[in-house]
Amino acid sequence: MNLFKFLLFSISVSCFSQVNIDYYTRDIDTSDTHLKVTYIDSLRLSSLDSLIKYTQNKDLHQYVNYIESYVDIALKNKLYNKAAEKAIKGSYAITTQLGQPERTLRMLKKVEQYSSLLNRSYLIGGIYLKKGGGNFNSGNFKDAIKDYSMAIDSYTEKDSIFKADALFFRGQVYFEIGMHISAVQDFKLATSYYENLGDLDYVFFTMGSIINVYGANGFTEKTILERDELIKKKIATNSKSGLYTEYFNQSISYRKLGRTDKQEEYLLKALQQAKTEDTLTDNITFIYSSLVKLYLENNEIQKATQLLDITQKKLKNVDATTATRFAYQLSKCYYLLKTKKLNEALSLSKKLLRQVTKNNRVESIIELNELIYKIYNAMHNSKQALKYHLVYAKLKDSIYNITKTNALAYYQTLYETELKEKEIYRQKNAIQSLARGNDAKRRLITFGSIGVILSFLVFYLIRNRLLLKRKKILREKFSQKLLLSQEEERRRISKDLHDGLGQSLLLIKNKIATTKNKKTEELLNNAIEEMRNVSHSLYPFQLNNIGISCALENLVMQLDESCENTFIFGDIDDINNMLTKDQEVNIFRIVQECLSNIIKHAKADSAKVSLVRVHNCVKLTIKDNGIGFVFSEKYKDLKSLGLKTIKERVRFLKGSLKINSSKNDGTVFKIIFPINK
Amino acid sequence: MKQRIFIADDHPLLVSGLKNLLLEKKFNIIGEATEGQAALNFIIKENPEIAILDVDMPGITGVEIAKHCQQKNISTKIILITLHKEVGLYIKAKKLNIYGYLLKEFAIDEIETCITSVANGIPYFSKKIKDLIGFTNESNEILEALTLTERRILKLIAQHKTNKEIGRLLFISPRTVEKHRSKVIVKLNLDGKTGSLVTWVQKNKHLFS
Repeated sequence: MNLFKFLLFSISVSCFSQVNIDYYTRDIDTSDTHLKVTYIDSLRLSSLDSLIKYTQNKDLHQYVNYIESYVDIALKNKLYNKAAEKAIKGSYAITTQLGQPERTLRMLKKVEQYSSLLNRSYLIGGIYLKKGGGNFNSGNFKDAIKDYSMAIDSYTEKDSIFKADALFFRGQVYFEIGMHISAVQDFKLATSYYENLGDLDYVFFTMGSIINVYGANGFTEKTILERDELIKKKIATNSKSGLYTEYFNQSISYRKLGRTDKQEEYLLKALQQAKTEDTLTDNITFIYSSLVKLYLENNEIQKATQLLDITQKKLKNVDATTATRFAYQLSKCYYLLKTKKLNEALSLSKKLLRQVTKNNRVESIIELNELIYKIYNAMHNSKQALKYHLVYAKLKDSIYNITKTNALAYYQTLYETELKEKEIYRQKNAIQSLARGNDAKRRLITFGSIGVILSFLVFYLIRNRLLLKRKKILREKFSQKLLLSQEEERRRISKDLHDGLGQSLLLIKNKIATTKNKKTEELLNNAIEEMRNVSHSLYPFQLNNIGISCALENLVMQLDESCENTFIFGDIDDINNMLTKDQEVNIFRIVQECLSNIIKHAKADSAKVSLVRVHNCVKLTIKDNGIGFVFSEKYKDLKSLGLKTIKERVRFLKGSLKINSSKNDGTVFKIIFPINK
Repeated sequence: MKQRIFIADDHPLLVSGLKNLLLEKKFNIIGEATEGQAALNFIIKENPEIAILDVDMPGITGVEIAKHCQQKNISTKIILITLHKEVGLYIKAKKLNIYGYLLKEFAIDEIETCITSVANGIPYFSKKIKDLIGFTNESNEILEALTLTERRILKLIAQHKTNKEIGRLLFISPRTVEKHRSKVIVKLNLDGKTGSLVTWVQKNKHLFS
């Protein structure tokens, strides 16, 4: 079961290396040129550079040697960036292809001393990333985590692809040491980075890793389901890179369920896919080894032999990594056991056990213990068999416990997360309800204040209106009173003149009559006449008995006589004794004012006053054929009181006033008022 | 037989002055009053031949007393004596069958003539009033038959206005003016010749001044 992790890891590294080499080499050359380099060393470096390029992908051992030499010389000449660049570039070959992670670590540690002098964040991060890889492959998981963490911290925002890689790798290490929650966190973070970068392949890789975590925690069925989904997605998006890994992992999951038929089907799929992807021999070897084991279990020894031979040939051709070799040798042990070559099987499996014990790979240890137990059992060496079986059982139990604990821990974490989410949700709800409450409160306050302001406004407006109305009424009353008191005053003065002064003048005249002084008598007569005129013009109603109609006729006649140019006449119905004194006075004054306006301003040839009684109303019309005027202009003129007074008097009569006037076409005043004494 | 005369005026000095004057002239003064109601009571009670009344009096005015007398068929002949020089008053006086209308300032000069005239049953009106009003008995008689509008048209004819001009001044159409003219010709009994009305108006110009 541990195999697929290595498999996945090596794929990741390989993809990563292939994708990003160009990026590394981009601007290295310019960054160190200011430093002084000895001529010979510079020649050596440039020739080494060419050699590295030449040997790359052709002669692995030479390539690695050149890389190491280049790094040493560059460091000696303080060309740290160039050294770091080449060290990073060569790490994959040393760690994965040669399977010598300690060698990589040696080289990287040399460069690491100068990491503070590197002027590119991706170089610093790269060193740590590769170191992490080295430590991981050497089984130093804690160091690997430390290195990957350093790498994550060293990368800046613009190196987000590397940061995602580092997170992905660290997640794999966490997974390896059983810290599944941390692993999932790292995977998820890496997934979001890849999603942002649009790197669909790696999104799927990380998703696959998350699914592996489920598998490790015993949720096998769920794992299979999820992985099926992932495989479908990969095929649908035509993102088939690493698809065989998913098939391979799926076969392992099926094996856990005991579905050997499915296991075989998926292994074959994985094999087919791996061949089309032209991947490294190592990875295919893993698949072969698993198939060999499967065939041996199913007693298809011929097929197993065939595959084992192919694997052996392939391993001879290529410098296989430790893991690959281990996988092959393990499957060979099974083969030897099955073909009853028990001694060979025993010695090989013991050798392998020593190897895995050194690397502390628990699952492999268990497997080997079980294998050795089976070998001893076949050799009928029950004592040794028991011994290995005990170790196997103990380890398996502990592993089982670990798995159970893992599952428990996972569930607990999930539960806690859920609890936390619930708590957060609850708090959010509380905040929302508080906010809603606040909103409601604020709304209430806002609307309330608006309402209060509006009602104040309405109240103020109504009050204003009432005040204005009252003011208007007051003003009207005042003007009416003013008119009445004016009349009253005129009447009083007129009467005083007539009755007081007039009588006195008469007495004087009577006295003088005896003296026969004609001249004085003449003067006195004039005085009496003058007094009479003044009195009359002030108030023409001294006689209660003369009705309004007579008074109006007199007025018209007098004015007609006094005006040479205007012919003034009237048709006046008899409305004597139908109105109150005040009403009569107002009518008279209206006619007087109109006629005097006509005489003064209208330049009219003629003016007609007609007063007609219709039922309970009186229609008073005063018209002329003069030049006319514009009502609004005259009415607004503050100095001219005449029109305003007429209007006021009409109001007193509770009548209506209509004025028709146009330029050069005369003026008509029409007044209608009711008779109600 | 000496006429019995009653005097009423709200001004005591004037009453006494008039009384003295009339007594001097040997008139028979049977009473006096300074207030309307008292004057009316006296007239009803004593029924004097002549009552000289002021128009302005507290309580009842001279005109009202005259009206009352007319309604009650009291035979007392009333002479109004007043400071007021009003056409309206004059017209009213005529309607109420008042025999005399004197202006106070000319009372001293005219009272004797007036009383004599009234005693003989002939109404007497102060000359000044006739001047003011412009109507003489003569003109009154002639014009009585005519309406207000007809009189106005005649007045305008006297001012040499054409029918068109008259129509404009009176706010009526020239045709209406023509109608009025023909009516007047009938009323005044003139012949139908053109210009006969104009000639008549020119002859009687004083009536319309």
